[in-house]
Amino acid sequence: MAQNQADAQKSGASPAMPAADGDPLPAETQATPLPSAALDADEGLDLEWDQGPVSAAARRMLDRVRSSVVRIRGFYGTNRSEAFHGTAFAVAPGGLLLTNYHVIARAALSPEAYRLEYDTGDGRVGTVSIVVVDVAHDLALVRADKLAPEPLKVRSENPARGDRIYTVGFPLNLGLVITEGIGNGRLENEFSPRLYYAGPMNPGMSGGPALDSRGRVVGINVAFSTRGQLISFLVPAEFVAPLLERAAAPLGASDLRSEVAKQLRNHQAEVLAALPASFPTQTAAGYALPAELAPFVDCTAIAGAPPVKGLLLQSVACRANLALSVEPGLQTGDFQFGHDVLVADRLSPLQFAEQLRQVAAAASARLKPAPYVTDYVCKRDTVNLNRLQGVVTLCVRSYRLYEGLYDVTMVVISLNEPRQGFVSAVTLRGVDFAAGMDFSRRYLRAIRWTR
Amino acid sequence: MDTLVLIDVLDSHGMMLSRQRLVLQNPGPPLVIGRDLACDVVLNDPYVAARHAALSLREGETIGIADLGTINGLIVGDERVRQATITGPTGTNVQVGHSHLRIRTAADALAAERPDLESLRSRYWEYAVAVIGGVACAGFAGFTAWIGSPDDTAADFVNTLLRGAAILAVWFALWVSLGRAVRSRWQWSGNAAIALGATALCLWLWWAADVATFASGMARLRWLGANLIAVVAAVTIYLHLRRATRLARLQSAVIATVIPVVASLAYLWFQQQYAVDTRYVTPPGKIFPPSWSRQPGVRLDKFFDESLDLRDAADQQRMEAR
Repeated sequence: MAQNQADAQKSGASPAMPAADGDPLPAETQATPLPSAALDADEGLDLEWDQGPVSAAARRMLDRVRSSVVRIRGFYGTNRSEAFHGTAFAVAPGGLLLTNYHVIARAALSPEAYRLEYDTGDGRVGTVSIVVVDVAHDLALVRADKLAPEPLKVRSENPARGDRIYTVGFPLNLGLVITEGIGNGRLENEFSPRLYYAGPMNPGMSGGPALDSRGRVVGINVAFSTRGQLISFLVPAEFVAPLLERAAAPLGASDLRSEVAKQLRNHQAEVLAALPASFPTQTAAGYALPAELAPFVDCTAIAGAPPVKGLLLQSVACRANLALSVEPGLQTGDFQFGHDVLVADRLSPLQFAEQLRQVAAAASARLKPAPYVTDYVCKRDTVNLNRLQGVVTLCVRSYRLYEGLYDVTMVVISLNEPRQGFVSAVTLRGVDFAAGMDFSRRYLRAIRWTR
Repeated sequence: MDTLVLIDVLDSHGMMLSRQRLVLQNPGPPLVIGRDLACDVVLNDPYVAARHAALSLREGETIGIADLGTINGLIVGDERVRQATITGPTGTNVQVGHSHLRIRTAADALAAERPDLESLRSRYWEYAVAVIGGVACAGFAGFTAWIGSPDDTAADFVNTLLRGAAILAVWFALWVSLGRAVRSRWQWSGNAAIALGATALCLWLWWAADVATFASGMARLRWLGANLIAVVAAVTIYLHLRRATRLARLQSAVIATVIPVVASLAYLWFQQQYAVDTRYVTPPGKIFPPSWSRQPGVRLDKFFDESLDLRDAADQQRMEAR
C-alpha cells in the first residue's frame, strides 16, 4: 500500500470506527502482530493459544498461496530504482493478476513515464500491462508477461463477523508476509462497499489477497486507518467477477485516462442518484438546512466559538465518506457541506451583517486551491429561496487532465432577518457539470425559513 | 531732460549680483557697460569686452543699447543683435557675455499694483471645510470601528484614527512644505481643508457605493463609486498644485488627471497580480441589514439557467492552463 494512501484514507476511514466500537475485538486478535524479524523464522513463535498455535495455520496458508502472489513494481523512466510497489495475485489463467487501482494508478495515467514489472520473489521478473481498471472499487486487472501462476479461488459471499482471515502481501521491503486477523463484516454507512478486517496491514500489501481459512479469496487489501489499531479495509471479492468479464475488452494504454474520468463521473452519478430527490433538513434558529442526506453522509453539529460577545454561533459540518484515490495526491469524488448559523442578541443589524460577512469570507477561503484543478469561475446573485432571500455564489473549476470533470462549490448567505442568519457552503469534487448543478439546485431547494 | 535708469546685474542662474540706479544725462555721454573699471557698469566676466555696450538716449525719448564692436555682441530674447530698444514696464533682459542685465528706465510706464488675492481672501471657508472634513473622517473611523469591532470599539477607533492621521499628516506636510518652498507660503488652513475634505468625501462615497451595490445588486455602482473617487482625487491634486506651485491651470489639470489614472492602473494591475485570488471562491461583498436590500431576487431556476456558461468558462480556463 502506498504510504500516502494511508494518510489519504485517514479521514475517509473514520466512519468505520463507531461500527467497531460495539463489537469488541477478541483478545487473540490484539495479540497477533508479527514482528518483522520473525517473518522467516516463525517457528520461534510457538505460543499456546485457545485455538492452537497461530503460526502453524498461517504458515500452511502462506505455502499454499505463495506461488500465486507477486510483487508489482513501478519504475519511472529508465530507472532501475523502484518508484512504488504493491501486491497482486492470480485470479484467472493466462497470467491475469488482480491488484488495487491505486497501486498502478501512476502507470495507468502516465504510461509514457512509468512502467510496471512483476517480481515473483524467487527471481522471476517480467513486464506487466494494464487490462482494465475499476476506480470506484479500487481494483485493476493486469497481465503478466511469461508468467501463468495458478489462480486463487474467489469466494463471492462476504465473511461473517468473527471469521478468521489471512492477508498476504509485500509490506515495505520486507518480502512476502502473511498476517492473521478477524473479519468484521461489511462497513456500515459507507457508499463504497468495504470489509472491515481487524488485523495488521502495512504499505505495500495493497492488492494482496485476503483469504478465508480454506484459502479462498474473500477480499483484496486496500487501506488501513492510522487513527486506530488494527483497523484495516478490504474490497469485497464480489467485484472480481464483473472485472474479469470486462477483461475480454482490454483498454489501450492511451484510453486509460479518459476511462478513469468516465468512471469518476459514473461514480458521482451513482452517488447523487442514491440521494433523495428532496434533501432532508434539520432546523437551526428557524432555518431548515440540508442535513444527513444519506446513510453515508456524516454530520457533526457543535457550538462554535463566537467571534464577538452577544453572538451565538452553531456550526454543522457534513461529509460523504466516498473519496476515491485517483492518483497520488488526488482524492476526489466526494462532497461536503456545512452551515454556520448566527444569532445575535445585542448587536445592531449593521454590526450583525458585518459578522455574517466575516463568517462568509472565512467559508469562501476554506476551499483550498490545488495543482490538478484550474482556478474558480464564479457567479453571484441574490436568489429567492423558500420564504427567504440568499446571496448565492456558485463557483466551478475543472480538472486539468480529466475532461468533463469539475469541482462545484457554492456559498449561500441568508438575507432575511436583521439579527440572525446563516452561511452555508457546499463542495462537490470530481463531478459531471450537469450533476453538480442538479445537486446544487436540490441543495438550495431544501433551504427554508420556517418561522 | 535726464532719465533715470535701473540696471540689475544677474549671474547665469538669475541671482542678482548688483543693482545700480544711474542717471542718463540729456544731453550727455552714454552709459558704458564693460570690464574696464572706467565703465559706468563694471562686469567681472571674461566674456565681456573692456567696453562692451553703450546705453544712450534716442530720438523720441526712447533709450537704446548698442554693441561697441565686440565679438560676442548682445543677446536679447535669444537673438544676437547689435542694438536694441529698452521698453516694457518690468524691464528688458539683455545678455552681455555670460552676464545678464535687467534694465528698467523711467521712460517705461509703471504697471498698476497687483492685488495679493491669496492673502486678501477670507479664510472662513477653509476653516469650515477643514473642521467639517476632520469631523467626518473621525466619524467614519468611529462608525467602522463600531460596526466591525462591537467588543472593542474604542480601541479600534483610536487605532484607525491614529493610522489615518499618520497617512494624512504625510500628505499634508508634502503640500505645505512644497508651498513654502515654491511660493513662500505655508497655507495651513487651505491645505488642511483640501486634504480633510477630500478624504472625508472619498471615505463616505466608498461606503455609499457599497450600500448602493448591496441595495441594487448592481456591481456597476461600485465601479461608478471608484470612478467618482478618482475624480475627487484628481480635483484634490489640482487644488493642492494650484496652491503650492506656480503651475498654470492647464499644467496643473494635466498632472492632476495623470496621477490618479496612473495610480488606478497600478492598483488594478496589483489587484490582478496579487490581491484577487481566483484560486479561491470569490469572497462576498459588503453585507448590510436585509431591509436595506431593494433587490427583487432571481428565481432558483433562472439562476441555474444563467449558470450554464460557468461550464464554458471553466473549460476555457482548462484550455488556457494546458
